[in-house]
Amino acid sequence: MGSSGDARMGCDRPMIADILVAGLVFGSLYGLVAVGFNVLHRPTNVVNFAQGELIMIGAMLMAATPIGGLPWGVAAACVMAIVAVVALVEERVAVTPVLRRSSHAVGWVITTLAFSLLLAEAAGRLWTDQPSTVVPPWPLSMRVQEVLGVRFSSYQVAVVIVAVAVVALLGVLDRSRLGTALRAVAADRDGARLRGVDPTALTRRSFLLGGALAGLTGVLAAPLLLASVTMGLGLLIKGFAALAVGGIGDNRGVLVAGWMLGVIEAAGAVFASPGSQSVVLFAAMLLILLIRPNGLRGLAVQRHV
Amino acid sequence: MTTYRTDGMSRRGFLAGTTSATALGMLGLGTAACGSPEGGGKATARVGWVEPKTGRLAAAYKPIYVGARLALEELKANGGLLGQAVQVMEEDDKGSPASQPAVAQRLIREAPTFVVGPTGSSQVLASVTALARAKLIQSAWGGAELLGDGDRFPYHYQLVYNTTQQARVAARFLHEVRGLRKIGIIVENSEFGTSIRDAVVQTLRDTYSAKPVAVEVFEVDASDMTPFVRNLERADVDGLGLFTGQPQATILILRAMAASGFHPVIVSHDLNYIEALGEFPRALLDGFFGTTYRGLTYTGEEEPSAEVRELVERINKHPDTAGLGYSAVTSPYYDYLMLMAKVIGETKSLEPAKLKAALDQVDGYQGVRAKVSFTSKRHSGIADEDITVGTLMSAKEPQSLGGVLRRRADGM
Repeated sequence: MGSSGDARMGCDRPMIADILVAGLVFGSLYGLVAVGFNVLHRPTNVVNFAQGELIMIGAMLMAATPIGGLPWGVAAACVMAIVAVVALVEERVAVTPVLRRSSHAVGWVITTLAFSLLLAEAAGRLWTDQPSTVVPPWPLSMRVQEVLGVRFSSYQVAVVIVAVAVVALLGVLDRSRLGTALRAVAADRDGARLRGVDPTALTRRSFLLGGALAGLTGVLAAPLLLASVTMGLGLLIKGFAALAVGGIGDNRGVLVAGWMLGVIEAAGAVFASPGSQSVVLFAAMLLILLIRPNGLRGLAVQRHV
Repeated sequence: MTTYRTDGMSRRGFLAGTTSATALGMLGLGTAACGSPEGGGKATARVGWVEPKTGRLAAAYKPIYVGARLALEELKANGGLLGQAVQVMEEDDKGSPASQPAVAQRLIREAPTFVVGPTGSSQVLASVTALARAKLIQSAWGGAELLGDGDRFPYHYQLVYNTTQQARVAARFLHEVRGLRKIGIIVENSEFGTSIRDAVVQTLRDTYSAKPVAVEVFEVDASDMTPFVRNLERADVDGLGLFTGQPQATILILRAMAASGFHPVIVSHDLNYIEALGEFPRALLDGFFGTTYRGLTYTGEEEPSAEVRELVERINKHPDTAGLGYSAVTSPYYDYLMLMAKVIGETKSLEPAKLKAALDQVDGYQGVRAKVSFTSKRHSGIADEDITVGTLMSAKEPQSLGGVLRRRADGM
């Protein structure tokens, strides 16, 4: 219809640059959500369905007084700490009781969903659906600059760098004794206990770390997406898609998958017919999974403990 | 002692659970009997009330019901309905379409004289479908045109303008009043978005022999609006219909426009001024308009009625308004309750059948927002001439009475 259709037929360099920038930036957020899934999944084999709402709580806290009024670094640290504590509460009430009955129990599907609903309920009572702006920390800004026909803001660049840095740091952690212990618990919770590893303590630490990561993702997402009580579900679904494509347990894989999904999503908005972007996104995801059923790098099932 | 235990529930647990459930059930039946119309005691006029009390939208929807609460205060101060005390039967629909059948079941048991709510097009469609067979008079906040079809939903009365009326006004403003010829449309991918997109396209075609130069449809959870906005910019759009129920989407669209210096004239669905708008250049916001009710607007020569100003004052004082006075005053529920009080007073009856017959003959009832008329077939009551376009930035003017009213756009 009209030139909307014309624009979809054509393809120029700035258009491709727009798609790549949006894909990398928002794909980094999807990747971080998926990395958060991985951190919690390692010692528990649990996929935390409350992850999206933890991120939403992080973003809303960043926009709310008095935390939002603090210097950015202090505010971000406070938010990460609060969300980490919330995640720990989730672990205590919604995950450990289920795993205590059986390490192979799947009751966590319901309990983490229930916890997610509780968080949404609390947010619905505390805040309206009006979005709030969060300003990026100095010297970053959302002001768009054009370099060689590519338009981006300094904050967008920072988000991509932070996502890469988080994955790199988790890679270092993965190679430490703690990382080895986490993999041992992931492979056989009871077996690891027999070798002197305390799965409960590791689960608790992972939830603290995963919660802090969810808080960080919320902090990073707030200036881009605006802080809103409705933001959690969309991020959860796209993060889950990145997890499926990248492979459970593979942090580098899920970040790359996040970028791929971000680019496909942005390209769908430009090239697909109006209203069919989700179809394009999930069709691409299914296609990738058909070709690479174990994730992009196929590493998830090749780990040795 | 030996405890026999299965994977599911112990025998003792089962017996205890069954006993408790029976006791609770009997208690419930007893309560229901006490509250039923035949249960004796002082007669009351019951008003069904569907509002999200829990869930993600609980706080967001509170301001929408402020008008109804103020109307209730007035009814109570005037002695109730036909001298009977007004009893409100509040039902929590969690802001979800899926909750509506269960809520409808409870309302049917409670048998109110009429029902207020729910709010939101999808919720309303689910609710009116579930309540239609119970013949309960209802008015909800949903803009879909079919909700005003008296043949399809004979007991639902629409006191908000529908998507076709809204589209006609938006197209008139852009094409006729502002003389813009490169009109674009951006809508969310929802029932509301689809119906208003089709209505704008149809109006442009049938009334102005024109067609939009760009149509963009985004997913409600879209993270980035830049690609859609770039499509509009490439199409050289100078007038834009922006229709979404998601305030976040509106802000993200404006942000993408501000980033590229693309400032078309915009007609939107929502004129709430929220803090997040403060980041945008004035030139962009000065070109932002929205459809609204004539009774809630002012011009250099024309002021809102004393009744409107008094209502706005009360809305601003109400604790549930929470800075969203515009949502509160545009809500249909104040006018609906006052209309029901008038109809009940005139018919001297609380019987739904008699009230429906009277409602079907309402002609030119002057609500605070607009004139309302119904026929047995047309239950979309807002008069076309009472729908207009207001400016967003007038929310900052003192005449807006705290950001609640809006200045009417020039030429409307």
